[in-house]
Amino acid sequence: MIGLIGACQGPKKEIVLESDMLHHAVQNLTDVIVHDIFSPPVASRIYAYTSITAYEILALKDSSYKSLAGQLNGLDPIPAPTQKINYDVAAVDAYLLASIKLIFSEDKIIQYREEWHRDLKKQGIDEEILDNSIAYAQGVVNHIFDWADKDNYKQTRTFQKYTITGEEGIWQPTPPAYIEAIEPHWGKIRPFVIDSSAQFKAKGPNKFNLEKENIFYKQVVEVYETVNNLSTEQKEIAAFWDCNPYVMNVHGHVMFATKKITPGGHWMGIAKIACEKDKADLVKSAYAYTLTSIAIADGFISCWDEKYRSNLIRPETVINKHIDQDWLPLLQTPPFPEYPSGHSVISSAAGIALTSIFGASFGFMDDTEEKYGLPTRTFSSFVAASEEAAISRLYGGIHFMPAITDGFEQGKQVGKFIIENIEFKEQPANDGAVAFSSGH
Amino acid sequence: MMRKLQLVLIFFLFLLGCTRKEPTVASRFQLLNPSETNVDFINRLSEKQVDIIEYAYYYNGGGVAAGDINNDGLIDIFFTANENKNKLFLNQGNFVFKDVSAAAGIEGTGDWSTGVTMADVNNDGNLDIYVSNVGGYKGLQGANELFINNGDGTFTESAKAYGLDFIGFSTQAVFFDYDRDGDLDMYLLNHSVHSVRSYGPATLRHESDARAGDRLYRNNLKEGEKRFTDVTSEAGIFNSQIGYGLGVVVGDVNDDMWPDIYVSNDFHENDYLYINQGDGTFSEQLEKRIGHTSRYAMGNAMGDLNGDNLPDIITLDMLPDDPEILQKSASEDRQEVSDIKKESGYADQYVRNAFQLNRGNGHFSEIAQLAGISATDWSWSPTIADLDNDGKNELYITNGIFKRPNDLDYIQYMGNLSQMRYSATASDSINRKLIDKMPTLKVSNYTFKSSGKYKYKNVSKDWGLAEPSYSNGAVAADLNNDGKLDLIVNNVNQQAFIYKNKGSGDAGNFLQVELRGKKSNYYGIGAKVSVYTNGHVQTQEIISTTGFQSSVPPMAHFGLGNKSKVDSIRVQWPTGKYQTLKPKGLNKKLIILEKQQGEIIQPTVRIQADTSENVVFEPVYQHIENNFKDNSREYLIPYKLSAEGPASAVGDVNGDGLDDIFFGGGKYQPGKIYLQQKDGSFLEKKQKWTTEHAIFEDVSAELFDANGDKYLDLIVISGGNEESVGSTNLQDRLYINDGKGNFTLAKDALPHGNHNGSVSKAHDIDGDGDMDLFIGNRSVPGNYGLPADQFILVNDGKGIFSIAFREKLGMVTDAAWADIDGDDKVELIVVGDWMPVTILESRNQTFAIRKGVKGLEDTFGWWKSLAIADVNGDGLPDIIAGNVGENMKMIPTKEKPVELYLADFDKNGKIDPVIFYHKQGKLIPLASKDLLAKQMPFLNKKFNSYLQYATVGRPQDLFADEAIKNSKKLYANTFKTSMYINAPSGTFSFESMPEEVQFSSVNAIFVDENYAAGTIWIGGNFFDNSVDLGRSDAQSQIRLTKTPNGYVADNFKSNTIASIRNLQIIVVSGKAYLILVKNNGKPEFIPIE
Repeated sequence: MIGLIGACQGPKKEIVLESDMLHHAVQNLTDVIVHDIFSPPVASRIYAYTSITAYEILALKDSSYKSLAGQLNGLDPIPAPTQKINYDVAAVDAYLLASIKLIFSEDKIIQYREEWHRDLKKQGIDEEILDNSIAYAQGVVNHIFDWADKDNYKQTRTFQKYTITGEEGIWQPTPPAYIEAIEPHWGKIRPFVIDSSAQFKAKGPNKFNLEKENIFYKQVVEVYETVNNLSTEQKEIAAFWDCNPYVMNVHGHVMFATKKITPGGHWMGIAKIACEKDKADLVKSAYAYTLTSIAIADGFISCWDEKYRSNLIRPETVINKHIDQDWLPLLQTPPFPEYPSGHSVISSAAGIALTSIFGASFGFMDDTEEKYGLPTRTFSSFVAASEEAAISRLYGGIHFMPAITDGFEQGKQVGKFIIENIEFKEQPANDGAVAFSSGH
Repeated sequence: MMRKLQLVLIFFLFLLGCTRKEPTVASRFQLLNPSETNVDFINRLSEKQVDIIEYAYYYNGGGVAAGDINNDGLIDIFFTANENKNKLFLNQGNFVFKDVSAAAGIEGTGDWSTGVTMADVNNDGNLDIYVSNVGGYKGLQGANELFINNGDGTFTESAKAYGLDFIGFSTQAVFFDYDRDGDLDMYLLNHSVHSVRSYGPATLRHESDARAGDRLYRNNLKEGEKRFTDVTSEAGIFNSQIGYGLGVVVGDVNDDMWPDIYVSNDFHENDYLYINQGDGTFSEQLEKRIGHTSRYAMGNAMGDLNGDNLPDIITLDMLPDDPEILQKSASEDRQEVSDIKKESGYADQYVRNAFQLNRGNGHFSEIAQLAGISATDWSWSPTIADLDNDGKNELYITNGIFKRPNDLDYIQYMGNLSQMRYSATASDSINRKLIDKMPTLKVSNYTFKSSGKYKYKNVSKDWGLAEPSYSNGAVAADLNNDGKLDLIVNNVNQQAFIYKNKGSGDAGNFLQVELRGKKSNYYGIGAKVSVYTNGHVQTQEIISTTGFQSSVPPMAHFGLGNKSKVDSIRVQWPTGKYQTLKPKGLNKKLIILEKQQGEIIQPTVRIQADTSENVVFEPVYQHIENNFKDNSREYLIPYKLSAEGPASAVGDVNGDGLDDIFFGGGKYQPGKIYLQQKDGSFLEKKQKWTTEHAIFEDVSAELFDANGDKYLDLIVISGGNEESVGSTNLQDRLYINDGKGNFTLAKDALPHGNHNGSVSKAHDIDGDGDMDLFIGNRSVPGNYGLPADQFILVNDGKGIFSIAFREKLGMVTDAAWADIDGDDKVELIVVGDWMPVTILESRNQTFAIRKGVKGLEDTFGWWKSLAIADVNGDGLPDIIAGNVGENMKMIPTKEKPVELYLADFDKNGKIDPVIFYHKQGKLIPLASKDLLAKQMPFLNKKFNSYLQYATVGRPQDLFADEAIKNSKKLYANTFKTSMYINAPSGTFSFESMPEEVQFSSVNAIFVDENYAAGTIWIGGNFFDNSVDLGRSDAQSQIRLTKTPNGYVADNFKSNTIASIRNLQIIVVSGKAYLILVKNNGKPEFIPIE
């Protein structure tokens, strides 16, 4: 867990952290996010600010990495340390502190952090340096949260709820929990890299129309028929990418929520798998998490902006009302408008982000969902994984095809813009040959 | 730490208390030991074959039937066991029973038994037994069983022969004679396992489901055939998959001798109230007669709770009484879900017990909250019976569920277990784990004793009925013929209770009556027995099934208190014939035989089932409320502030001597002036601005002469909570009349700006001969709780007004000018939310609050209306102030006010209005944790679990002391509609009004001084409360008539369930009418002379 280097013979040791310290911290955060039931967009914000906090400290240590100050909307440089610190420790500590600020159930992370501090002491870290690092981490966290607090998140908590109009073709809450529309004002959150939530607008859904020959009606039938005739593999794909943080199970008076990671959480998992396979060090790992989480966060902001512009009805609602009263999608319909598909947008953006770091033909075994009882799946590239994530929403019966294809395209534009507009390395990590899929 | 320790200590003491077997004081009831009674029955659940995840009703428990099956004069007991054998215990006297189940042959073959009814199905004088079963589901087998009593201690199962061998999801059967042909027909209540995943349209109830749908069977006995015919569909009985039937009771709710049926349905489906049409069919009329019901309605009962001899209806639900359990349990729907259910066609339902008070006019008023009986935890069986023989019925309620699936921590945080859902793990073992994690909690049953005309208090502890249990079916019956009703209760995984009623020294007299029908059915089911004592009458209907899955002996039990003589007994047989007799003596059981010749007389009270509206005049105006959802912006707002209209005003606007009317519009709806024609009809007088001014939401209007030209001008107050202060859509308008009924907007006449208005009151306040104005404002839009600006405007004589007074007095609803103190200067009386009844007095060209008015100190209310009249005839103006009433979830008092804390608790730039109310010694938030945390996300950080949140018992538990200190605190210490009588000294004294006035909000008060002097008309109801509060719908209108003993209430001509906002008197063709002006409805005209 903790590597010791140097020939120092004194009682105090120079501690260098391996990347798995960060991976553990991310996993810890993911576990709490699952427990606390954060919605996908809110979770994406948590991943982004925590990752950026750690990365900014590590970029100070390693001169081959660039700070994101001046590159991310509104971020000023973090203060430089004034005392001797351990950057690695400060970075991970800052990650944990940022996590604690952003989630509800603090105990687990607080306890983890305390144990880790004890471990460090046991390993012989210079306690003064540890104290300095912790104090510095707190300072950086304060700096980052001064910035984060201006992203309109708090204000959007009390903005007007989505109004259910009952109008034909317009989204309404879906069974069984009939949860109100999640984050109707997420498009008003300050993005990290893109100019505004509307910078990369999706082209817009087909107009609601139930005439048999109409394209909208046909796409409704497509969902209905697809779900009714799923192959085993299609079912597995749908389940694998469900990534629904809150599925309500209803058995008469017995109800209970089944909880899983969010789409963003899944891609954080893939980032970790890639880092481990690549044997990425701490700073590169932080880089991977940061870029991926920013791509996902801006993806959600773009996607949500469009969701509440088009306010499109979900397949389940149309099909139950007009085709088959008893029809059930394979996956539980998430509580927000249909177009575009969030998973498609952010998977596409995340795939591009990770490709820019690890390359276009980086194959991997994805066991992220194992914890949630799902098998491992193997992918030849990040883009291949993101394509499968996108199409899984059709198999799941929760999206029409245009939400998937247009969402994938939107995510691609967001991802591309991000990798082209922020730099992590003083020298580009690769020669810029990012392969894009033209699969849709 | 200290607190924790205290908790442990208390818990320990509690345990000690529990281990003590004998109650400390000589309590009325004694729980008998099974070793003495031989009733060793336990409804034990193994959770082997099915469980609550596969079968929602797994923990519903069993039923009890009581009746004398061997005609030895002692009441015997039958218990159903869900999984095990059903048991029959023969009463051998003196509370000793004998298990004769096997010999009698009644143990049955069903895998899962539910309800049981004793009734004489074949009319041979021996009680038969009908057992309901669940069959054909998850391996559970078994048809319903009819055990015909052979009269020799044995029974023969004959369901098939009688055509009653239904297989499906039966809950309970009730035997009654719906066609009054002399034999007992059967209504079979079935439940459903239809998925409650989605609600589906309410029209689903018109579909048929062979196993879940209820059935009605007609007995062909009188036609000479021992067989029943299924008449479900032809009789108009719903029999669909959404009939989640958990309670059925029969009684004549409209006093026409035709037995009606009330069915409680679980989940989102409405309850059903079937009115017997007397022609073999029923008409389901719940929504016409009842404002709202329980949501997860379980057992039910009919009986007279208020002594007016009309059957009231009790339905039970699962609302916890204990604030800690309450705060960690799922209860009311979120607003969105509630809206979706309504849009799907379902009626208003709330998670609480319902007390449907029969008003004798075809309508019911739901007053469980006022009565104090709305929250009794997860409740099953209500028993209405006089347990202390004082002549007033008690209400005994069983409750408890072995596993508690509505625990919010369970719902939200247990799910990680089920993450194995996609894995290969057998679902059985996951279910097992999920069920094991479900919390268990034993609570004690409730015994409510009358403590006022409509109020009850829980006497379980005092009466020795507080043993914690998971109780289901229950019956009150006199097991030892001592004239006191004992209690028999069927429990899950616990010995059945036999509670012996020992009395407590004060036990009153009694009379028990059994009937023997000749033309009517043998035990006279459906007959009404009335006992007359010294001008007092008590009436009971003979029934079989009541409560939950249970049935009582077919007899009437009357407690007579200290009455020493019964003047007469009158029996009205199901044939409609009366029979009267004068009994000798008391304290015995009478058996009354049906005579061939009875007299047929009209009953004194005949309930008209007329539910048509008194809409008299065309063209019909109808107010349309726009559907703005205040809580989409203000999550914590307790009720809408955007639905205050319509405005109305009456006066002669064209000088023809006839009263004309202005009706205001809702938002986007034009207000209209109707001119009365000579023939008494009304014609709209079009105005130039009619369309243009539709954008205003007209909430109040007044006709008065603003410019001194003797013509009535019109002021219309605009309101609404959707736009901000200053919005042009909120401007009040003064329209000048040309004397012919043409009105022109007087621009710039009103200088006070644009607010969410509520009221205007014109009066010449400065004695200069012109009319000045008070303009009241309801709220600061978007900011519930903040005080709005209130204005007094002075007229320059030409109809141009200037501001003489401006103050943020509060959330004003109504006002009146009157010379309260006889100083020849008018005072302004103002009321509103979180405000006391406030008096403003004129002082140096302006006005100031009169401080310290004696008698008005503790009058902080949620006031809705105001009237000034000399109520006691002493020449001084008294105050009648309409409040929200006491049929509320929160009922504040001076000592226990409802409190509102206003502060930006989460520092996001928006004021958070948080309401607290007192409950069992704690001060708890009105809003749920989820709703509070939605408004203030930091609360989710502060409380990681509902268990932790449940300990919140004061505002300081929620917010930091500093935040509390810096918050603005408002409170209300009365929700009572009240009269304040003016004493010459300028002080006031509170005078209570008839209790019925408190059933609902009072939005309009009209004191009639011309037609029926002293009569007070009251208009009420408010449907726009948050789901947590629930709508106030128990009283649209009530009339108070002056008598030497004070005011008496009656519901004269009240026959709609509406929200009345204004009352106007109008003379049409020389006849006076009261106009009920309704929100979102058509005005109703009631002739009052």
